[in-house]
Amino acid sequence: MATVKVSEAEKVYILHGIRDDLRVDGRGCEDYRHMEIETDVVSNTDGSAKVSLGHTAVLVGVKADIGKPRPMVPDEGYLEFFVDCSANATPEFEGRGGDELGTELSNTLYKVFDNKHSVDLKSLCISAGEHCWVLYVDVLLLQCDGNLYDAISVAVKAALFNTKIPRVHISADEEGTKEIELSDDPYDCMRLNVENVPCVVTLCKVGHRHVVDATLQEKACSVASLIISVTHKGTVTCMRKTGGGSLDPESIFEMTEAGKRVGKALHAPLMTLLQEEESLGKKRLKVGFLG
Amino acid sequence: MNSVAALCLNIPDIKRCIQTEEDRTVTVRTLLLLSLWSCRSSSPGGAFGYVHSAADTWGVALAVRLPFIRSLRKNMAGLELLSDQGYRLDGRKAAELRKVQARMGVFAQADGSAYLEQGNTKALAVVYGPHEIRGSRSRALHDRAVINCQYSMATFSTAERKRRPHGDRKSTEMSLHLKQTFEAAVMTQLYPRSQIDIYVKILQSDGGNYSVCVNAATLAVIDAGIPMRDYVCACTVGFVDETPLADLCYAEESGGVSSLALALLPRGGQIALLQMDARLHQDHLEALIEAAMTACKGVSKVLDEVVRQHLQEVSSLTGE
Amino acid sequence: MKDTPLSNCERDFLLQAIEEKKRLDGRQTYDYRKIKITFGTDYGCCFVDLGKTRVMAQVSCELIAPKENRPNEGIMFFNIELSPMASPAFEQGRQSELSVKLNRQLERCLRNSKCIDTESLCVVSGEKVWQIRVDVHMLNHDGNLMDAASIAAITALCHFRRPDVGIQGDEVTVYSPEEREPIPLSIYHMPISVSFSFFQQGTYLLVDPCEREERVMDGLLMIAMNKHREICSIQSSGGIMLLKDQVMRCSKIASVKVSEITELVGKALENDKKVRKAGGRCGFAESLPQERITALKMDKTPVEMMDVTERANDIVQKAGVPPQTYPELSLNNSCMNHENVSLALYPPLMLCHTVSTVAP
Repeated sequence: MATVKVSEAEKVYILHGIRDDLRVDGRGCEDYRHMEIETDVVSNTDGSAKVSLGHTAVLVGVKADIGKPRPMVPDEGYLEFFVDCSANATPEFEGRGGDELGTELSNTLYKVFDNKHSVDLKSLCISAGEHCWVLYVDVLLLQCDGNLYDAISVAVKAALFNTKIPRVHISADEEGTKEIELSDDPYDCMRLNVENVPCVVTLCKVGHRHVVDATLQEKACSVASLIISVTHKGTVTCMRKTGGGSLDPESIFEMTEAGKRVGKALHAPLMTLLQEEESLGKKRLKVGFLG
Repeated sequence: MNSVAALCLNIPDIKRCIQTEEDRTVTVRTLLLLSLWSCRSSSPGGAFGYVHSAADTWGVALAVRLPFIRSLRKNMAGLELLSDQGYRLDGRKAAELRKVQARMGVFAQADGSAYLEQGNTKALAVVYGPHEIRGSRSRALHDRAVINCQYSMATFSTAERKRRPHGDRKSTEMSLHLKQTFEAAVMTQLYPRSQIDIYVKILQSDGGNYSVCVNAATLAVIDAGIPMRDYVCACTVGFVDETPLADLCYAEESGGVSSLALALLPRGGQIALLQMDARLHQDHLEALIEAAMTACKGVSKVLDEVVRQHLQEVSSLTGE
Repeated sequence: MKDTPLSNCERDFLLQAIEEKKRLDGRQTYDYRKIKITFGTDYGCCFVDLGKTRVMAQVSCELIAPKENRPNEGIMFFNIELSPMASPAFEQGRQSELSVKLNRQLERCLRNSKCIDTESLCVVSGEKVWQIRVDVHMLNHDGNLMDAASIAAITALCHFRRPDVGIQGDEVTVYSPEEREPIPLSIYHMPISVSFSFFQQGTYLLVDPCEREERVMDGLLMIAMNKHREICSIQSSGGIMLLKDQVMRCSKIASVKVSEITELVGKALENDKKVRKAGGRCGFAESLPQERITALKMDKTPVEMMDVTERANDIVQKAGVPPQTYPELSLNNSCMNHENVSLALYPPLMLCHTVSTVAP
């Protein structure tokens, strides 16, 4: 995990600031940093999004492939997550250095999406027990400056929103062998309903208070943090505690409430933004990394 | 540009036509050529470094529909790489480069970073250093800096999903080649006992991965303020019908063209890396190297422009 | 275990020799060392000696399912093994940079140039094809492993015979060599790699560098060609900067060298065929040189003994003072007699004094 070294004096400064609801970069305790989102940035994918949150930058690509449904749930497709902590983000990730963090992040994503409501998996089924769509969600970390979970979850949601799955037509010939035909028309495609896709809110316990969207410096001052995934309605789908320290039950309750509040407030502008971008259609100026 | 947009909108129609026809190959090709012809007539661009936007648009349009690309790839053997009129698959002339766009200083945390796209191949390069040797000290060199490179590809960068971003034989080799190229170009003797990290990531791959990586990394090294002997520019060239083709795209690379990758320090005409695959008669080698060198010089002009523009922007921001 | 480092003295000596167009083993700039090709008892086993560099290539085959995207093509697999036997610097079981470089270069040289007809290796389309596996083992490392490996690999492929197969309906039978004569592979052309090493920023160029020369070189250029003067692969390595003219010159030299080596390989294969037909003995054991002393005789060499002192004096006078590389004296030694210490440290200087006192 990318870390920074913070001196004792700096720690005290940050702690005192947070006590007075004033953070080093001028934010309040429940404010996010400046966030930029752009979808459809990699044309080789079926859906992609680039999110930057302060200095943290992630790129998510979704590829749809036809696979075999899981035997336990023959009428559902599934999602596969992979997080690539590339050396671009920090030299510590060179070689196999980023594997550990990558596995941790992708496992959290699996947990966040492990419920019936976040994505309608039934719509990914092509023919029960035989074929289904597998969505490979590949996350690429480009730069780390704290709060990876939130940035990744927003990027995944945006990429899934952007995903266009080609429509399929199943035709059976006389012998009963089925043939799957993919539509060649780029506009004849299926979109996913991402309304229920949760976003992750990470709350860092710093001193007696907790902050949202902690930078690396703030992270270094905190003993433990709580990862909460919240839907747009404010339902919590997954919760995890990370970090070495401990949290008392009361503060967990407080943090969950705050997480729900922040999560709800995060969803609404995100969805409007995505829809706005979508409605621009071809007129949209693609910026990517050039802007 | 109007015709380009028209071409975009026309794609579903083109495909519908294809489905009704029996011989897909011929139809695709004729339609492709027809539409590109129409584009070309409206915007006469053929100079070096300037590339037809139609080519890119096509690439994008093709990339949207994977099954369509796959079917196209099957037909690749039937597609002629250079038409009788002297146009290539994506409407370029033989010596024409793809459009090169780049930006320096993409990320704030790294010491140097750059993003470069050449047609539909997109790469991100990041430089850390010069800094103390990481890991075992025994790797340190007493008279110059160690250059450490890692090449990796995003799992979604290719048409078929890649399982691992790096660590296979090909990416290890690519890392080695990058290292070799920059050992020749960077003035390593200025930083004894230290290390310079160059990490390159391919975000989208459409041929010429090595050359795009080198070009992106050059900009990143410049952004990091590390002195180099000259810009290192790389380009891939192929050889079809006695004609060298500059800056190959994926369709051409996989179409069985003998390709040559060359990294050049343009001012002295020194070759930092030379690599060639597939068969080529010795007599053609000179023409091919010559074409590659010209192409590299074209790239170097674009890179120089990017650097100058970046400097201008930065200096105007700092108020100097 | 690490390689013994090369001393500065050795390095300077080697570079000086190269500048004077001399090589340690008396070769000319563009000369190859002696190439010897021998075959094992089995088909597809070949040893190549390039001076003291020695490699072994073994070809084997296996019936497997083809790759999905190429249902009617056989598969070629190349592997170069750098065992610690060849050099203490090679570590077992680790993918070193050198090993990746050699492996990829061999792959490029032999697979990408399509020198073998892979379609003829298909047995049942989409189900069964031959996989031809070439294992190259380094037995002794004395420089220029790539050239030796490429010669060994292509010779072994030419020498190899695969078992015949018969197809009746859905059944595939593989015949043993006793039932049906094994079939040779169909080979279109023979790519052979030629290595050029560059010294002093590309001023000097040598063909077929030996291990010592490789240690002091700046970079390497490997060109693989066949006898039809077609280039199959080019690869530069090491941090050198080449000029176009140098590449062109190398390619010309390479074409000459390749035709010589191809002829040699052809002869070796021809010889082996003859021996096998005649039922003679062949194989590794037969090819070992029998180092028995059959006669002992020493020629008398006349040695000039006149004016030895004068001549020695002359040489000593002309020779430059050796560089000051003696270790600094520690404090403990400072009380010792300085004259004694310098005597011990400077045997050559001492000699110089004694000689000069005798001479007048």
